[in-house]
Amino acid sequence: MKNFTLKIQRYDPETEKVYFEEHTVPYAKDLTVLDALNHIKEKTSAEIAYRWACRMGMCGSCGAIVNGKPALMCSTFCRTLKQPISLQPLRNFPVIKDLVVDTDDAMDKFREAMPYTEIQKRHINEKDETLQTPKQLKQLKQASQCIKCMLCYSACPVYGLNKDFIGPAAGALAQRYNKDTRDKIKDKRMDSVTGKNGVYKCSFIGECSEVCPKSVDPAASLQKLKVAGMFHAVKKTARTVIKKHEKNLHEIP
Amino acid sequence: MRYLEQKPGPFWWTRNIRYFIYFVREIAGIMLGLSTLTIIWCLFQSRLMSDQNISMILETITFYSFWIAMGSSIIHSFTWLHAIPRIMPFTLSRTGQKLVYLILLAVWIGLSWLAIVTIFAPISHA
Amino acid sequence: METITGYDILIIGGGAAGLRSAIAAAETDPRLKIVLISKVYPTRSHTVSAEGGVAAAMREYDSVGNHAYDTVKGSDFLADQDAVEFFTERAREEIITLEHWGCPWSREEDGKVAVRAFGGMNVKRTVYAADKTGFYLLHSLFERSLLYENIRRFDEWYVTDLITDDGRATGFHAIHQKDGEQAVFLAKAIIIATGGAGRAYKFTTNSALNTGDGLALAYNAGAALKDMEFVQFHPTALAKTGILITEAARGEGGYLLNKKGERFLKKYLPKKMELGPRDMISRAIMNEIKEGNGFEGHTGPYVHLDIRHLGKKIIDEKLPLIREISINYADTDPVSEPIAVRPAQHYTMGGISTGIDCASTLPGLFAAGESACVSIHGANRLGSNSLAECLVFGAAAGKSAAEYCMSHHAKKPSAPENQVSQIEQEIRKILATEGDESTAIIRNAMQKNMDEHAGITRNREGLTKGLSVIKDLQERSKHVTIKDKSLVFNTALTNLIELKSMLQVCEVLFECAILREESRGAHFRTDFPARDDEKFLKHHLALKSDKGIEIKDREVALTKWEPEERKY
Repeated sequence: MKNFTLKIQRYDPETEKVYFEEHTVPYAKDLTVLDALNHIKEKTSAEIAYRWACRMGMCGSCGAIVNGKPALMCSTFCRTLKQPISLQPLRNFPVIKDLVVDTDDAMDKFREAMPYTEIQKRHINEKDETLQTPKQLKQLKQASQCIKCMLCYSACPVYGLNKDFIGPAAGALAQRYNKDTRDKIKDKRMDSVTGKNGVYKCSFIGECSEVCPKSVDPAASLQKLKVAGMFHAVKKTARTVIKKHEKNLHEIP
Repeated sequence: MRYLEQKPGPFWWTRNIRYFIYFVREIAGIMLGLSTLTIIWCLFQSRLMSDQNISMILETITFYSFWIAMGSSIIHSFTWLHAIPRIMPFTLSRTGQKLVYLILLAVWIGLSWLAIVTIFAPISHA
Repeated sequence: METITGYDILIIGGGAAGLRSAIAAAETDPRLKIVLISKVYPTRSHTVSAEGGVAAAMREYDSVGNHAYDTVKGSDFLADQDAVEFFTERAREEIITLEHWGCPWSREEDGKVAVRAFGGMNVKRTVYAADKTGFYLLHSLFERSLLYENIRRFDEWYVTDLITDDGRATGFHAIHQKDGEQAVFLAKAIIIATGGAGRAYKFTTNSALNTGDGLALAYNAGAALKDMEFVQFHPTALAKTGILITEAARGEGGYLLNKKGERFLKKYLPKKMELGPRDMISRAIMNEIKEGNGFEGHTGPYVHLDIRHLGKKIIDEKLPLIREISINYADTDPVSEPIAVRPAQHYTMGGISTGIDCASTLPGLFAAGESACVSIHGANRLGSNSLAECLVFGAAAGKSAAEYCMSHHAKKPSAPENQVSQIEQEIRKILATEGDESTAIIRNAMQKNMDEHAGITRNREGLTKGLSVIKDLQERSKHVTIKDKSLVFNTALTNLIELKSMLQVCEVLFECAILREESRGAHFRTDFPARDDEKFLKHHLALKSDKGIEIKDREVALTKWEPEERKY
């Protein structure tokens, strides 16, 4: 039962220095990387900066690169990892300090997915719920599991090279709302996600689905959106043509 | 105070096997296009040239371009067929996806063999 | 330091209550400018861990009065009944609204929103979304909030102090974690929705964020805290980590078994058994363990939660998250083995004292959610009432704050100059302190103390000892050295401020607990094991004064139901 060794990448924004620290943590069978990090913070380095909250894999705060792969620290067990365990901040994001990265830009991408069922900004005064069968609910189940942990943005080279790309999680969110039978704004949403830097920038590398801790499969969502976008473009063109034709008819004296 | 910028360098595709396979897929597409253009160009040049030496060089280039095109097209087909199960309008499990992939591969190989036997073989014999 | 004005309402906290109040305020008047400030991104809030469901009188076999009665009885008759009636009248509407906004509630075959049984509820009235209700609810609210342009989010800003002027709350001071910038925000109305203080305990289901920040902010600014002595312990949390195993597991039919394999709750709650109220079940489990009927393990004593008889299909359909959690964190597959569970701290019934309009005792300050105490939960909260409270009172707080703004438009909020400089100085002082204490050591001591002396069973000796430990720790917390002197994501600094908030909350808790010489709901005293309606059918209001904590009494509003014996 050997102790665990963690090699943590530190970054000080004031001195702009990157350096590595090695720490040892006593062995425990169910010790997660987050537990080990908390132990280190309590006993030796009280200043080490990282995000965490729920410690049960639901909030998505504790994403980091663990032994080269993006992972949630609270759901990764030290005993399954090759020693020394290397901890680095998520890639593709600027590092604020130690393991904390700036994910504001990626968080804003969710707006582009228009994640609401309608655009009326009012309190709904309906008496009853809209009916939705369990089978219809199952349609959006997979894409709705996304905890917005940003591991997929860290894995996506397209996002890494072009920060305007809508990204995997936003794509999955758009797909989740498209598949919801209560949604009323699918056309507007399709316009939004198939624009410049939208879903068509995805090169289907598939790494996002590999690292997703909740098996959301954002790559599949993005490809489905591409196909749906095709039909949407055809419908839109058809509508414009028909409208123009009608207009011409009315203009005949 | 400054943030530490983290950008994927030009060799991001060497990081893991899946990135590498993607890169090979894309390179295969490019190589397929380039080699096909090369073959077409060589064909045109050989009509105009009557010189024996240049003709031989063009033949060699065509020969190797053909094999590159063949290899690239196989790699490209394999990798794209692998991606097809993911874009279906319904969700498949991991095993389901593998099964669809194998079926698509079998269909593709079968059709290719049929094409060779019915179209290309008779032509080459003629 | 920048002063940020130009906003009408400031909301501290981005969980269910905070987001719901932001949306409600934005809808009330689209011209209002609203700030939603939180120390984390809203989707990281503790709401995301909630599992069970949202209670409301949804079906024809149920009624608003029924739900209200169950809530009042569950609260051991300490809840303010007019507030409970207000709450139960609006719960269904909130669920329907959320449904229209896209929240994926689980459904019956006919397409209607499904309901399940829950502890302390007489009929099935808990609406749920698989067993990740909080997650779906929070994300639905967050995604809906993106629709309103007048809600401006300030993510990862740490609020350090409230600012008051002329007896009114006018704003707060906050540090931007991303770049260390400090700013003073001023507005006409402030809503606190920062959650409870569960991290004051060692064995808790709560996330790292629940450090009583808002409670301390309000208390230090002069608002009253109510019923702080009531802390809920959830009966079924994983024995080692304290991760929550939802009450829905029992709602769907799970059993609690002791070492002998018997459903021991038949001795304590013969009628309701596993669906009794949380305080009674927690006490029952601790009693079984005390009598030697519990299992012993390296994680401490525990009992078994058995859901094997439900079958794999139901577990995968209705309880998938707890199956995932048990497998990952406890190496147990609930389909084939019982789960090792033990009661853990879960919810803070006490909080900032508010009325039905969510206004606190400090004008301009409102509160909603777990950080508020209206009180609708009284001495013990029923499961699935908390998410419902966040929705109903979140909406109410948003509307109230909006109306307050529109009626007080003449008064421009301002900050007394010396107050702001005092706050700045205090932060500089903390950073410059050269002592030999460590935040982690003090925090561990506090958590151990709370588990021991303010746990499921209490007595005068323990409570007095606990209070003196807290006071000692408060003194020690003034001598912590922080090596990191910058304000950029200085977790050492924010951890220390959180620790001080928790110590403050604990002090109030102990003072109120010592005064309450009876056993009611979750507050059980071995030296006063009976409920005393004559002397203690009242709320305790705690206010900050020069002499320390001043505790006043407030009557409980009894409109319909007279206190009776609480039997299940």
